Amino acid sequence: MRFLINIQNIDRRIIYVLLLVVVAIPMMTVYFPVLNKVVPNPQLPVSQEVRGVYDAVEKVPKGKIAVMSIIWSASTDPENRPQTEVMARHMFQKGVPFMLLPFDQQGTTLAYDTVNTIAKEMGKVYGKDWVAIGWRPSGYMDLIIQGMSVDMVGQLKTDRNGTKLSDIPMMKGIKSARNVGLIVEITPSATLPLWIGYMGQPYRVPIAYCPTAVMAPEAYNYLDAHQIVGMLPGLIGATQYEQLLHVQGFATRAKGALSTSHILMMALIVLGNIGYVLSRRGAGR
Amino acid sequence: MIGLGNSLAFSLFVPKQGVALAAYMIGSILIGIAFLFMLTRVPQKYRKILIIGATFVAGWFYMLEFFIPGTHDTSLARSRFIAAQRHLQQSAQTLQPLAYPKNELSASQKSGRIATATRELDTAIKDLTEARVSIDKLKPDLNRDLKTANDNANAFSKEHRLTDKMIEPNASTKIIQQHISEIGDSSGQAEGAIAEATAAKNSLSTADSPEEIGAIAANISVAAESAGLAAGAASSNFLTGYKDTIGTVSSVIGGFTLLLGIINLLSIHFKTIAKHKLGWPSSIAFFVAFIAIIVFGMMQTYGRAGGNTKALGSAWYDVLFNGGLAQLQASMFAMVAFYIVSAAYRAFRIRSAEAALMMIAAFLVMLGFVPFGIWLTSGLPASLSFLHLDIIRGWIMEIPNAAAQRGMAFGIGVGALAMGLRIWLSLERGAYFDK
Amino acid sequence: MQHADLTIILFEGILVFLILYKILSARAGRRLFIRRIPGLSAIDEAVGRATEMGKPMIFSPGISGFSIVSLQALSILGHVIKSAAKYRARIIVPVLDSILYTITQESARDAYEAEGVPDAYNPEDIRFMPDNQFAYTSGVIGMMHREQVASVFYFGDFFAEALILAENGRTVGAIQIAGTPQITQIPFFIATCDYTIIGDEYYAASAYLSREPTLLGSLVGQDYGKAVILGIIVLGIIAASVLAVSTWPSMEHALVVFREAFQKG
Repeated sequence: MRFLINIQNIDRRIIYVLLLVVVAIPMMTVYFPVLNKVVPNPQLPVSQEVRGVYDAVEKVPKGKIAVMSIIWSASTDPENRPQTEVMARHMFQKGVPFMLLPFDQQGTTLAYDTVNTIAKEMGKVYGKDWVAIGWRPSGYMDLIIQGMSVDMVGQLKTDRNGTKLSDIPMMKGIKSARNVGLIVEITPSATLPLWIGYMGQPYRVPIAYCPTAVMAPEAYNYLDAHQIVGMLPGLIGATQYEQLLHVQGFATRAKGALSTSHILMMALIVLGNIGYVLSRRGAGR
Repeated sequence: MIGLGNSLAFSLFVPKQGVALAAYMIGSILIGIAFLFMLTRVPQKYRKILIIGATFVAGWFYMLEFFIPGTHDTSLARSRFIAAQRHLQQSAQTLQPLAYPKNELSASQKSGRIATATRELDTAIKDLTEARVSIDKLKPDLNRDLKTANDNANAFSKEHRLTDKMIEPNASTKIIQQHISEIGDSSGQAEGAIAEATAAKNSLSTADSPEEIGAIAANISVAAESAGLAAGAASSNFLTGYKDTIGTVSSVIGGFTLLLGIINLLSIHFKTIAKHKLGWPSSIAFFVAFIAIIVFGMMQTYGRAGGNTKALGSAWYDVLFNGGLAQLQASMFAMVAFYIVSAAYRAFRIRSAEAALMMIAAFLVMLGFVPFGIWLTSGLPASLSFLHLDIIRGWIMEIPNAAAQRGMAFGIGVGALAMGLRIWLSLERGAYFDK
Repeated sequence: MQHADLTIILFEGILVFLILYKILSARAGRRLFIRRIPGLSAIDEAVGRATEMGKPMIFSPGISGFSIVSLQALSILGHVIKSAAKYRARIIVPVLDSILYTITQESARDAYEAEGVPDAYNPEDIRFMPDNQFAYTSGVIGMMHREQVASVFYFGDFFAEALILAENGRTVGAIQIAGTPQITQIPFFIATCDYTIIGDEYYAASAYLSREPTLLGSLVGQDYGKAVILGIIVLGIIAASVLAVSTWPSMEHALVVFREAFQKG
């Protein structure tokens, strides 16, 4: 009985260690395939919001490009990198040329390396199938979006290597927001309203939103109002997308860790409440 | 730029190069410093008035830019396009039930629906045509304006003997060009929508089977999308062209304040070391990191291409930035996971009925997101599919969650509007604009 | 580059009118009622505790730059400083943005002057922190542990650092009060802070603390504005429902629609 009552005061260090263990084990399945038998790792049904992103990429008209806005850094790498990966992979598959537009110093390199690896793997050519812009300060994001919706090349001027955008084959004929068929916003931050307000709504450009899981609840409003066409909520969104694309990347591997960590959390909450209820009963007597 | 003529004041703003440019830059910096110096000398009482006045004047720019309609107003066409889009959607919706083979509708119900859908199509076609005519009318005006703007710009650069290098593409010509291309696009989209809608209307009179009607409804939805796209056109007024300039001004001011911030940072850490305050070794770490990243960053940026300096700079910069900072940040963020679990464990106690309700909702959402939870209910038969945890999760997120978020968002939006208004009109008597 | 259309002009006009009208009528002497917000009443308690313990406080104005949100945070800071200045309690303000940093210095100095203790203002307690989310976070955490602060206030935009900061504040045993318009972070603050101001209460804070007619009037005007929005929503719901029902041919189709709505998930 006393043990059950004390269970509501587990030392936080014990909790930390438990979490570390339950997250690490499923991630090890790559090295120890036998673990696959222990960790539940079922196929996922693809949710409506993820399907929306997929359909939007499929529907980008010929002659238009997609803009991938990168605002993530090393900190949210595990959530945002798989999202970047699946989006790039799908666009390469579908032949939608896209532009990486980073608003974060680290994201500039991280996203470039991510996409570059996939491009090499899929035999895609820089400048023809994709282009990467250098870092732009996020503080002036609103001005940059407004500027590029009127004059894409004039606002952004050069790519990350300093090549003039007007000299890049992919950018031929890309003048303004009217030539953008899709905006993909990959971010852990609350920057979505800027894209909706300055480009999505005025020019009727569809927006696909890839937030971290914690930012996702806020976006259901925009989804409901059709201001965004779809969303990949955190890692699980990327997992479902990998399923749609029939690839097995980091997101698929991390699926098990998502399960185990949430199970641990729920178990702890239940235990805490058992202790709480029992101790209250004891006090009541 | 027209109308200012050759006055002395205006000649200050003509682009310069060479020695004149250098003198101009130094002069500007000196004037800036003098201005800052004067500002600090202004007594407190007048400074408040100065701030209030400056805030008020600055606020006008964005307000007017937003509220003054564009010179070449496309708003009429825009609203027509949106109306047409709505009519088309309505038409498709009315036809939708006829596309279900299971719906056994009477002949009169059927013909009634088709008549309604046709009427909606007619209205939409009328709206689209009107809108298209109204935007096409703008074309000659715009072409004339473009010519005038180009002529003016050429005359100006000739008069002041500007070289090509000194000329930035003119903001006003750029915007007019953009308008012209947009109007062409809109017109094209409208044309497509009209063609689709007319075709749909014609085939509707002969269509009979649910499949045919379903296909027509789908075509009408496509036309609705084109109508929506046609509505997307920018408009600009005489202030729009200056937005870039204002943005530059504010970033220059931001640059000055950064210097003040860094001075504060340096002085605090210097004093901490000098006085051996608690945690002074960290301050040494600060100086080391601060200097290292500046030095290596400079070496990387300004070193001769292919030279040793550049190679060394970028190697170390990479170590410090990607090896150090990025990893530290990633681990900092990863800590959130540990804190979430321990905070949830500590705080989630069923103290009341509401708390119990919240816990149930939280469990459903968590299970509905993770593979394990989805697997739990995946065995249910199709007739019970609404009990699937991912479906329940979707319902909670899209209905109660979105409603609550929206409620708060409205409150926060109105609050921000009121705060902005109070600051702009200097009604905010908090600490910032004191009595 | 979108400009206001008639709907926006009308709608914004109504909101602005309501707010200004209420401000003016409040200034003319109308008494207005404001309900109790426990989190804000606790500010004095938190300052009092710091004074008793002889330890400093931290006020974090969030990690966004110069914006409406951070100006509101400074407005609240003004009140906290005034309350602290009475007891000569020390308050440290780490600021992430350089523009905001200069304004914070100014407003802190003003607040001390307004309380008649200009010498209590120490420019070094308004600290500029590196313009980077987690560098700021670790800086503030370090400050909490070094100074063993008695109270921490979080007012402004917070993101992932919300929980990190608040858990560390809890570890040093500080009394914590938070308020943010970033809805997604509110649950984390509720779980870790002693008092949390929820959603749009954030913009009511300065009115509540100062009881100034202008701010109270603005607050009431805001509520009228929200009522207008609510009215529009209700009208929209009625219109949409009528439209939906009128396009249903039969009960059977209604069932189809109903079933589809649930299968959407």
